[in-house]
Amino acid sequence: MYRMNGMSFREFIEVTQDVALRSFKLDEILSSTWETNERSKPI
Amino acid sequence: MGDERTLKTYLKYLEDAGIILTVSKSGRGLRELEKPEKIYLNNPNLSHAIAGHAPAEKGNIRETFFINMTHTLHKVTAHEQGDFFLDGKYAFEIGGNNKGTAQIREVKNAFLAVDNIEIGVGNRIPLWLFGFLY
Repeated sequence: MYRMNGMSFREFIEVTQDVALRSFKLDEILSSTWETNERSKPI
Repeated sequence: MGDERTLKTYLKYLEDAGIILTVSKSGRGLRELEKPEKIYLNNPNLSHAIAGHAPAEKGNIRETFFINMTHTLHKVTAHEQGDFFLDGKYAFEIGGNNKGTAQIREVKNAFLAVDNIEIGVGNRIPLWLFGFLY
């Protein structure tokens, strides 16, 4: 489950796993799961 | 508690302090002193803290996570068929990986935000993806 101490999920992963991640726009997330050649790839 | 207006004022104080998040039908929030449709804790961490050793209710944790991640950049309102309505455009139902589309089948621009899946298909979006909105 998600225990983030007030951080965003992205910030939480960056802090705990020492990686840099980008954020996504809502439209990108909602269109990422439709199966076209480009979009069916896991993010 | 004196009256309904006092209750709404106290709820607004709790929301301003970052303790709770409220969801209303109009999305104007407690500024209009409208009756909130749903009340959540601000984030899942608070749920775990209050639940102590008892397991926090998963369905509520999922919804709290979703609203906490989306309310920063988007207008979140209540939806008649689904759980949330974002920006007056997208309807969302939140659930575990057994969640079906029956509840939102007739709804335009409806999505399931599903916990415990890694990759989504069609309108089934992994819940964790909403953690990357900001």
